[in-house]
Amino acid sequence: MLSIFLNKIFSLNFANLLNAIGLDFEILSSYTFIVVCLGTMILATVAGMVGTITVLKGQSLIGDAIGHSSYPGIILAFMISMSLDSVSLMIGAIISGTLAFIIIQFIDKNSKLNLDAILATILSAFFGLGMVLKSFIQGHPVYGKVPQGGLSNYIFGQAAFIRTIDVHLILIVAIPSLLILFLFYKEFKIFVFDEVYAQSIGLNSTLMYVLLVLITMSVIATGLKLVGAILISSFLIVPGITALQWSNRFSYVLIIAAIVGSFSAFVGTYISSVYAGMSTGPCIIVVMSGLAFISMFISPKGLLANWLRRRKYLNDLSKSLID
Amino acid sequence: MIYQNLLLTKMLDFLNYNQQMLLTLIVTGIACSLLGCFLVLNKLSMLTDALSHSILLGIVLAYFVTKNLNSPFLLIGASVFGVFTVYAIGLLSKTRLVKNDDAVGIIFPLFFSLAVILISTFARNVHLDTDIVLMGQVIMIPLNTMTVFGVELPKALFYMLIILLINLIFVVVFIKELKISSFDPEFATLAGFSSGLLFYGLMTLTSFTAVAAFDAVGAILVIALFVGPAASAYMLTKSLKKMLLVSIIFSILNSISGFYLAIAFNVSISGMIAVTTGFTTFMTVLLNRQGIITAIYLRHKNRKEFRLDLLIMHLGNHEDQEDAEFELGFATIKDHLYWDQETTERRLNRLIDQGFVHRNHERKIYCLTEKGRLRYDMIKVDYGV
Repeated sequence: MLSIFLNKIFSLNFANLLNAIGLDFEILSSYTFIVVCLGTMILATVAGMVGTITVLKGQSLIGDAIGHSSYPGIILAFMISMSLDSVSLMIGAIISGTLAFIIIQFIDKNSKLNLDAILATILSAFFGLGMVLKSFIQGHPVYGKVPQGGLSNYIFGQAAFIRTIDVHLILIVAIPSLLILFLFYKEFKIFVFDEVYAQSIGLNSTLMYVLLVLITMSVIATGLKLVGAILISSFLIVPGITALQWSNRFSYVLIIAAIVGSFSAFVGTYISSVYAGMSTGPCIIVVMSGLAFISMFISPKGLLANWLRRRKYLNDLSKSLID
Repeated sequence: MIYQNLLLTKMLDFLNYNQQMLLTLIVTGIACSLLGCFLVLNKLSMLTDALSHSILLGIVLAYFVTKNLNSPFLLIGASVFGVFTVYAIGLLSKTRLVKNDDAVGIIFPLFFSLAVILISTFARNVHLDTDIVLMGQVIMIPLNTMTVFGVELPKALFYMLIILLINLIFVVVFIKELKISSFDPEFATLAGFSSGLLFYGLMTLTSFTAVAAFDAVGAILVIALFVGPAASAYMLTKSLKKMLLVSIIFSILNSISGFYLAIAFNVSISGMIAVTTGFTTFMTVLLNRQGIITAIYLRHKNRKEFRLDLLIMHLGNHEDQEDAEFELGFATIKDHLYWDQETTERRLNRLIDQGFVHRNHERKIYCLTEKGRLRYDMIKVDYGV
């Protein structure tokens, strides 16, 4: 009796507190919001941490290419499984993303083309293939009968439609990914900053690449349903870029990226639930990018600090000249 | 004039819907690949990805001003916004807070997200479907016509012809400057013209082309049209003019094959052309002069040639010596070169066919012919023996 009473008071106060700072408790406690918010927050946390490594390796646009390239895999998986089952679509996305990655690496090694030309060509070819397959199954006598409305969600993402099973799926990908990141923390650190040294102390850099690609690929594949093939790359790189403005230490950068990712996911999801019609993925990305730009401006390495430093230097200089 | 118009009208009447679509696609492809060559040479390929996504925001913003999807100001507004995107990316990477790739990766998803939010909140009932943004509406090209000088032709075709003309003039007039700033930007500055100005000229035209092509072919195919043919041509040629020419040929081939494949399977035309573009580029990677398949073929061919040379060397070395009878008999050749019966026969026959070797039936040995002896001397020089 007492506990119920206390609980009630607490929740009321909590609700009032939230309302006082302008958050709508009604929305925050709704089941849909909690599911969507959990999903996007976990995803953004893992993506931010994994993506930091890609950013540090100077390969931030590869995520974009792979995101686009996973689209035909989704349609093919649908054609094979004849259902919109999240797991099989995810496996399809991983396979076609990996294939694109292998082709990109192959061309990079075997031609004089620049990486960005390769990325652009592969990205458009794979996404084009997805469009071809999509138009093939529309109105097809066999595939046309299966409802396929969910398929377009994978282009732009439809976080509002995710269910508990999708959150489970995100967890299943997120936990091993984070585990790998923690277990091989030192190896990744050396691998990121000095690949030659890493090789010289006997670290298998091919294995590191495979691990990194595997994690990145599965994060992208789970994220497709939430944010879509086109925008998933932001989840990977923007938190990393933001975090790099604040620290030079790998461990701090990873932690900041995780915080930035989850915070933006929360705010973005909240905004999209309050204002009808706003898609969750784009909202989160706008918040994320906003944080990135703010960081670039006010961080210790940022524009403002640089400007102040320069001013101080000039002041000192002019003073010393006068003296 | 009237006669000319009549001729044009006749010609366009003659072209059916399919051919009008194909013609538009080819013109778009050529317009794109002309600029694409310089984008590939300047390592700016991923900027086309950024451009083609972020001009959506330009189109939405311009729409809020003009309130009319068919207004030409929409095109101009969106193009200006495209140039702004490039400028913003350049500005961001110039602060040195982020790398250039990161700047690209942060700016365009932001603009694209803003565009998606704006469309879904304020422009829901407007005909600005996000699917169409990506895939374009090739099918609609012949239905959307306009009358120019008394000739009725598809609007997209008309726009793209103008863009093609502008791009062509730009490339022809500035080819020297573009060449120098692509291959040696420092020399360009020394030579006294601003590669920055040229860069923004190129980007303005790229933006214009992307916006104009956007409506017809969609954001994804625009990227393929810009980069794919230019990348293939880059691998195949060593001079800029040839590269431009080859990229145009590639572009036309890709459009035609993609278009007819799409018609045959009744699938998305722009998607199919993106696929054929990717396919031809990949095949060029495999088959160009430095390509992996070419390398395998050349290695194979060299090995074969080397073995024949070895055989000629053997024959030549022993021909005038006392042990010729013994060394040049079939059995000995076979044993000394460690080849099996069949291979030895095949290689000897090959040399006989080529006229380097003849059978000496009396002595039961193989001898070099006149031509073979010449080849023998050449081999000695070649290998430095």
